[in-house]
Amino acid sequence: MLKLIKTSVIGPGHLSDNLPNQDAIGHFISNEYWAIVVCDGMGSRIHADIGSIIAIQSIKAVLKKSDFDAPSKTVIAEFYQHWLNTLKQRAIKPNDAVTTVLIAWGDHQGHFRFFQLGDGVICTTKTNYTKTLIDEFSNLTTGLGLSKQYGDWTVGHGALSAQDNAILLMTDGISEDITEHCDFTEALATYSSNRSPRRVKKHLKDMFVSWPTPFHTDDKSLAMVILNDKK
Amino acid sequence: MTLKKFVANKPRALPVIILADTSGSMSIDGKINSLNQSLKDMIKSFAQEARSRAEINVAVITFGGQAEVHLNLTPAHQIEQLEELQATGGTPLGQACLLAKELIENKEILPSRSYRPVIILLSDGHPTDNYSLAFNELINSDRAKKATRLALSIGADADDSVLGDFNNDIEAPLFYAKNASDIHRFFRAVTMSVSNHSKSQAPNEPMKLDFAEVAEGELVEDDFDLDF
Repeated sequence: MLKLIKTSVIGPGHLSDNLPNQDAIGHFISNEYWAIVVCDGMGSRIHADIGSIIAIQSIKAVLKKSDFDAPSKTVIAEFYQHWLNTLKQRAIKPNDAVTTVLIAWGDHQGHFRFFQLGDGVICTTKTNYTKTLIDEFSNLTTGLGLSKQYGDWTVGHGALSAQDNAILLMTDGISEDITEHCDFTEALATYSSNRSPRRVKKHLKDMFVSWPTPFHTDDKSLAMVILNDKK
Repeated sequence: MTLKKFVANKPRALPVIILADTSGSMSIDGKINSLNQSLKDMIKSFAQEARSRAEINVAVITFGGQAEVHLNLTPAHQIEQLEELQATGGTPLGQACLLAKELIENKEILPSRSYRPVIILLSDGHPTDNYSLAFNELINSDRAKKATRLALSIGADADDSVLGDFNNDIEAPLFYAKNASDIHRFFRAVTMSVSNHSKSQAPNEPMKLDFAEVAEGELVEDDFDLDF
């Protein structure tokens, strides 16, 4: 059985500026496949909140009809173009709606593919799949509307198992303040194992609101899939 | 429940690193006094910043006679008093660059979750040591390239070529201080800029990128065939 946890909380920075949450989260589950998507609209762009929501819609629309074995570049190009087309219909410039993208797309046996553009982290309980750029400072990122190169993406695949049963996507509002990403994923999976998604979501929301890092400002969003969960 | 134990309890830092010429010539015309007062005012402003979304950290490296770390990278609100800079000796810029590179590449002092640092070089003269190698290694280092680098040219004898090479902010070209009060003006501008940046909606997005300005190039294999 597959359990899905996802939640998004507006950060204090946007609250104090009377701006909307610029993160967006989404998912789909079919008989064969599932996907979780987390997008972080780039703060200073006037339509960042719309850019991230449309990215979620575009990615879900494309993944639902894509072959799970399709080349990564083809899949990305399709949902990127879908995102651009939708923005054009709404007369929004891509540069005004820049958003990062984190995707995990899998089947019910635990095989998954992942795609990342910009900051944030994708990891399981054992492996951090995000490019570690130790020389980067936390203020350097890219996203849809900025990047035009496939090389900017981190893509790959993996498999969940009884020993490594969860995959987590988190925006940099969370990941930048987390010390050990895989350990956090494992702890969250363990916490979720005997609790309902609703209860886990409430706990996460409470934690994000009372986030321990001083001066934290960012919106905080995550999505996680746990395989073979009993509850 | 122990999920919170994975969350850092230290704020993200916005580092401001000053490379200050404290050679003997800075004692003339009240320049060193103005610099001392400017630094104190800047630190005081940073410490009082109430709406900051980052913890502004300040470090001061001096080069006068010899280069030294005058103030280790410290949160501004923790700096109770800055020891006065003294103007003496030659202008060993190369030594200062070595110290600056050591600091900026230290990932324990400047973890990658820090915001993009601001590095300020100010000088009123020509370097007196063999500075070229260390200077180029600093400005070409991975982390210093990503920093916002500003330069202040003080008086008529400053080496504007070196200072111009250091500056990498196209929206803030080399600033000239004709006299001591201009030093103060420069630091006021820096203080306001850093303070505003630390309060901005996106301190993680230091520069305004205009996508329309990106030059149109030939599509290479790695590129998506996207038209926007």
